[in-house]
Amino acid sequence: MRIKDYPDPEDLLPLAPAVFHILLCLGEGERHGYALKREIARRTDGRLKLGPGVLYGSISKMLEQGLIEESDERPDPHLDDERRRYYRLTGFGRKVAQAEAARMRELVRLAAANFGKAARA
Amino acid sequence: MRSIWLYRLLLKLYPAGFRENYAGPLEREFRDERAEAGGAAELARLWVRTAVDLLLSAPPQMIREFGEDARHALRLWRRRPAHTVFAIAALAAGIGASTGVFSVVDALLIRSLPFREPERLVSLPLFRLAVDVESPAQFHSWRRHSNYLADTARYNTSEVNLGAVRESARVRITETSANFFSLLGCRPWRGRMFAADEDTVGRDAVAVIGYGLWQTLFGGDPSALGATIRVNGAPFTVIGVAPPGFDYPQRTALWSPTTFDWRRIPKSGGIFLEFLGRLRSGLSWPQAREAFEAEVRRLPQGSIDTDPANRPKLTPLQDQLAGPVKKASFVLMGCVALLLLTACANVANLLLARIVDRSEELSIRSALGASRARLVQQFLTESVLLSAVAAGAGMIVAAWAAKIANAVQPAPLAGQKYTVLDWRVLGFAVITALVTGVAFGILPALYAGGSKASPMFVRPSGSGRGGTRARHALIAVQIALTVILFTCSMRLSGAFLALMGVDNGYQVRNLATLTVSLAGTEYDDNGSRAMAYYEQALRRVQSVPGMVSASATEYLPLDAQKFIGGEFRLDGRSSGTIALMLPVAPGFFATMGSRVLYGREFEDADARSTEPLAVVNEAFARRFGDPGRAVGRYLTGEDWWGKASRVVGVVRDIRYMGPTANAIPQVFRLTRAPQHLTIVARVRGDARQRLAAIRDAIRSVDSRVPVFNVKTMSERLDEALGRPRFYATAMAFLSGFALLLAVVGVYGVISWSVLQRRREIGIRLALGTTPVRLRRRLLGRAMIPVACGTSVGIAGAVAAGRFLQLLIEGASASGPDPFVIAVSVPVAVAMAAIWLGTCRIARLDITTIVRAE
Repeated sequence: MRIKDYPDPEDLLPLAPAVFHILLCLGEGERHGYALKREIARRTDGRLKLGPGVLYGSISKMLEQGLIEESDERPDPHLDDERRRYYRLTGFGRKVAQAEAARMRELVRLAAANFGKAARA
Repeated sequence: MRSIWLYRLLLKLYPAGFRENYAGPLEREFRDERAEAGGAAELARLWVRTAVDLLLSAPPQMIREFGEDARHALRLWRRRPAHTVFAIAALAAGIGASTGVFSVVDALLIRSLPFREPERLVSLPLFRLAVDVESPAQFHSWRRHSNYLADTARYNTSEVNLGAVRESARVRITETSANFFSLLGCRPWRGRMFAADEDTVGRDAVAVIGYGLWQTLFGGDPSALGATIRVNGAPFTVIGVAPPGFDYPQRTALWSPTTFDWRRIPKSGGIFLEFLGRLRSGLSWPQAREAFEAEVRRLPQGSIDTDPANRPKLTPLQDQLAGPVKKASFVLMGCVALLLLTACANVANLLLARIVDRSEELSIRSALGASRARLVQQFLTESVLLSAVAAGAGMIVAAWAAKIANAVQPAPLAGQKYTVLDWRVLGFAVITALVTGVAFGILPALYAGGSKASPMFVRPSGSGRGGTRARHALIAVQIALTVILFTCSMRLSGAFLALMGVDNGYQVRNLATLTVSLAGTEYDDNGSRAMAYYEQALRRVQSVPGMVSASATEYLPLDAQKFIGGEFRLDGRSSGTIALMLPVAPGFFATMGSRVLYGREFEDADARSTEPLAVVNEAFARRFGDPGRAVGRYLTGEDWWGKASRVVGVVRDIRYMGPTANAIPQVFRLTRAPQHLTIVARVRGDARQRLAAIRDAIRSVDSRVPVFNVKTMSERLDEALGRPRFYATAMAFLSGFALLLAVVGVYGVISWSVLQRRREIGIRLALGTTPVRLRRRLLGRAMIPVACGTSVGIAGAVAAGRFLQLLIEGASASGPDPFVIAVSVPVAVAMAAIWLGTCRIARLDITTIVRAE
């Protein structure tokens, strides 16, 4: 798999919701695929339920883009002998997540300004 | 457990690279969710979720991996541009030629005819009615009571002089019963079609004109409706315009409801009625045929020919229109498929050779964990991409082939023009490209996938013994296909050359021909005025500089499609023979360059005499004994002259229907003031140069009399031989290309095997063997697949031979001579390629090889 070199995090924006959620989850620490899926569903109150194909499709692309990387395989504490692949955020991935958050903040600011005007009219 | 098995199967929808990395986690998650799903409802929900997930996630992965593989393939192609261009050219020729031929098959047999419910339309060739055909009332009553036809129309076609607003033109008219258009489901573009009772005498002076005629005569002006046109002088009112592209039958430009009123349009020559029907709905073909046969059996005894070729038939209209082109197209389709197979074998060989070049890359990829499936996928992507590019290039070949086919054998209807811009033809090209890509890619892909990872870089199995066997097998296939194509080509060329050499019974060179028609002019009286016109026209033609002689005939060889025939007897004998009845002017045989075998031909004095005279051909005279004794005997027969005619000469057989058809008995008499006449003129030098002068000489008599079909006899013969020439040329091209592919294939394999066995060769040379001895040994070994291929090819060629008859008459009757050449050429060329391929042995430096090892 070829890892592309993205010097500017802005190049990848806007992020797909699934990708952004994966970055946010991994910001709290390493996770394996199934844990990511459960965590995202919990955080969004079940509104975003990633199917395994979409989840691993996103993971594969993020690995290629250098947003995340695999850490060593280890057994899941909840499931004794199953070996699972864990993922963690890269430095570049953190920068991209921050840039996406800043972009969203700017959007929210713009929306608030607009709706404010509309409310006054 | 069954759920897991099914899910594993569904995982195959993902591309190999993705599957390799994530099949494990995906399956594990599915297991977890399957374990959590309790009842049937939850299980159903799980499957729906899984299906949606697959639909959302599989396509992007496919596109991603295809992109990766395609970029990789492009890099490899850039590294070996010559190989790549050759492979693309080979496949483009194969795919393009197949698509071109398919466009003909599609237009004639697959695309629906441009009529309403065309699958129920039938043609009834050679059908005669049990009722009086002269009366429209009886015909309509018969057709309404048919138990298998919902409707039937009758028609006859002919060429007429059309006088309209501007100059007169020569067009084809179809005289029909009033229900012709409604039967076909054809609606008017402007105006209306015929009313139900408009085919009765007195009401039938109306005409529907074709869209093209409307444009050329009236410039598309709506005021054409109601205008009066003159058909062979008879006035007709235009009531409607047919839609664009409607020209059934036989590229008709004009329709009139006068099939029961033959005198309405003054014309000479025979009238050939044809019937067109629509099957009753709900009736199957076998039921319809049975009902038709029952009707034929009810016809009066003696009115039906016992010869099966002349028995009435019930044929789907589409089949009848496709005619002989149908079978010929299938044969050509088979031939181009053979070429495509040859190209596939060749490219497969090329790719197998490339695996050796890429052994290092494949070993590294394998060692890095690329699965067999991933490598196979990459090779298949490369081969399908190659064939896709080739298909793109092949469309140029296909368009070119369709253009030639349109010129050589135009489709019977304007709406059936052969084109590659049709979704079926394009779909055929796409499917052919895909199948071809997989066909030639699968073998190299499997060999590449067979390479194993090992601590040392190993060669993939493609370079081993299995690879050699596969490459030899491919060589055998190529040689077999080449021998088949080459033999077919030789036989077709032989048959075509035989056609070219056929004695047509006249001298083709330096002969100019043109037709005049008096229909509708002031000379159209079947008497003295017409004769005076023709005599004057011939005199003027004879005075054209460079003229040797000039004469005329009512039926010109190669030109006339319909003849009048009748039964004739000599000296009142009871049994006669059927012969063509051919009126000619004095000096016809001398002008045509036909040999008079016995007696003499018609002379100018005969035209003034009142004694009926006849000339017969050899085939006719032979039916009554020694041809030399026919002269002076009296001919009786059809009510043509009223009394017996004296035979004054016997001439060599003239092939009226072209070089492919043997001459049948012919009876000639002097022409007497016909409505139209074809003038033949023998000139000194090139007839083409004199055509304009001869035409002007005839026009100078009266410019209002149309002069048409201005051609040399050589041009007419070229047209008649157009189809056989096309088939012979196409086959020569196909077999030549196959031979080239085979040569490149054989050369490639042998030079590759020399490279492979460098070490062995080096040692042998070091031990004292001479390069020549080694080359002989390699030649012997490489000849094994060539010999195998040749024997299979010979068997295939014998089997294919009988189909060639469908392309050119007499092609399967060729003797063993072309066979020997057809087999020896590919074999000799293969041997030369092998000998050349081994020449690098002589240049090998033994010390370098041995030291390297």
